[in-house]
Amino acid sequence: MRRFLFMLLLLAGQAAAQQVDSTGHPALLGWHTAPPETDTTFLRYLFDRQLFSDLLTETRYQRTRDPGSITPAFLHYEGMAYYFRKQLDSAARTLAGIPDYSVYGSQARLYGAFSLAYLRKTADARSTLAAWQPKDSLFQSVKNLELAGIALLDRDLNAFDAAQKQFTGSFYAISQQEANLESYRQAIVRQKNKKPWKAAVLSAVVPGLGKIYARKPGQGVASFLQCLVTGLQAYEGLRKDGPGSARFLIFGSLFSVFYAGNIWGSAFAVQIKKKEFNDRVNEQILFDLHIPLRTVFR
Amino acid sequence: MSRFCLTCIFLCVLFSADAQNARWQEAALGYERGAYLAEKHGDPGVARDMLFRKHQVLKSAGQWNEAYQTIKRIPVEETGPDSVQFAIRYEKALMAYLNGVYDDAYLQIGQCRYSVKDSILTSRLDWLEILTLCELERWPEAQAKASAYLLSRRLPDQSKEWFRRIPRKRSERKAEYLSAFFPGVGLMYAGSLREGITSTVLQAGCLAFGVFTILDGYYLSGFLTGGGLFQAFYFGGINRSARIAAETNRKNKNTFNRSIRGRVLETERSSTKKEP
Repeated sequence: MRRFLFMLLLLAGQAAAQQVDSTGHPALLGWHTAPPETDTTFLRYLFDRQLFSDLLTETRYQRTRDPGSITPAFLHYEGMAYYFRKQLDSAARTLAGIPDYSVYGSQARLYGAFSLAYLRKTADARSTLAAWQPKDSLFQSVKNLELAGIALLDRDLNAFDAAQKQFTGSFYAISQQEANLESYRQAIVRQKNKKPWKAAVLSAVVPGLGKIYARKPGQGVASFLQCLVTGLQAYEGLRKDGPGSARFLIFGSLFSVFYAGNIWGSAFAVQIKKKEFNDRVNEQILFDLHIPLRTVFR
Repeated sequence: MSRFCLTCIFLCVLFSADAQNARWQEAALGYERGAYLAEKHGDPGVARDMLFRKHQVLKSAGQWNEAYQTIKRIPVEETGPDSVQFAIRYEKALMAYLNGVYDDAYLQIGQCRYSVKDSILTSRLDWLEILTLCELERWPEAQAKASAYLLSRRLPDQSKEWFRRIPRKRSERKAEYLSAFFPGVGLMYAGSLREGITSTVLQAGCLAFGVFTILDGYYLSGFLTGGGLFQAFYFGGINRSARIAAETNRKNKNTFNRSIRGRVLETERSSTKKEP
């Protein structure tokens, strides 16, 4: 009798699996669309185990089958799954749907703004934070820090100074990051003084000096040696064989190419160094904006 | 509880059908939900079964990394039946091998042999152990295993023939020393005859240019151009010989292991066919 019942269930299962519902999914796949409460706990289960791909498949189904089941908790897990999968655009869009009054509201605002800042959509990040009024003093401080960091990403030093005035230094979770942002501001001001034309002039006077000025000392010394080696050989050719000799013409041409190229390269070196500097500082700023989020919402 | 188990079995059928329809992701999610429900109802046996099936779905989809991560989540009960222990440990070892984590594959094989007492079951690990030992460059042990493996399947012992050309490892340091004392020879030793000859000719040419230019009285050109180019090729040759040696070792290892893999899998396939 038991075996008969089992066979019956087996056959029923296979038959049902071949049916397809209106959404194109096998009808019985609806089994995993349980009541909202259970779904949120299942989403949490997937989230805790970092099964983000499964979590997003689940939320996709729920969106198709039961749009009414979309709760702030649902959006929170979906948004954070996108975030951890580095799909930051989707993360920001999903987290924006969580209302401020929800328990997930603060986390959604801060992670959403950070995602937008990471994508260099700084205006959107700023407006996300500006529209949010945190009730907790810690969240207010984190918001200030994020706004200050976004201002630094934009190189808007006035906006940074305005945000910096509200730094308290009283929260352990963000005090180090507040100090770091101040040091990045000073580094940005220092870096701005480097001028490409100055590097070119310096390299014209002493080959390689412009690259040292651009803070590329290794390249500067290498350029100096290239010019020295070819210049000395050109001089030797000129002294021994005269200005019409092949030796002088070859080494003289090589020297001219290296000398002119070094002047040109020095001007570029300042710009390249500036770009490298900006990339590095931006990376550090984003890192320092991210750390408090991980600490506060552990 | 039995009703719950029966429901799970019923769902397995559904998701197996789903997997057959190549809807891997959905099937994997279904099994994950099964594992979640089983865990919630305090039934670790069913949870383990669900995760095992999820792993199989992911394996069928060729998502080996995900399959490996899933099978790693399944705890093995030392007191459980041999067949269950073997199935899990075998898959753990296989997935580790397919993901290139050979140390873990070997560890899993060792643990399986230790905890599963049924020698008929553990003999199914032989082929995997041979391949894993080859990847770990433990070829003499792999040869001994291959010999035992062939004899256990009542096949002529061809292990000596299989392992006749175990790759000779070229020392990177030796290649560097050779290049330092005999320019170009290190590259030849490392396995690139053409590059070795080219390097020798270039270095000799630069040195000759430098010497003759100095003899002609052009000291700066001799030292700076001849000497400069010579030192560039000389030190470049030393660095290159170490890199070529490493590359040759990797290529030889892959070629040899590929041939062993082909032979072992062919033997495994033919011996499996013969079994009733």
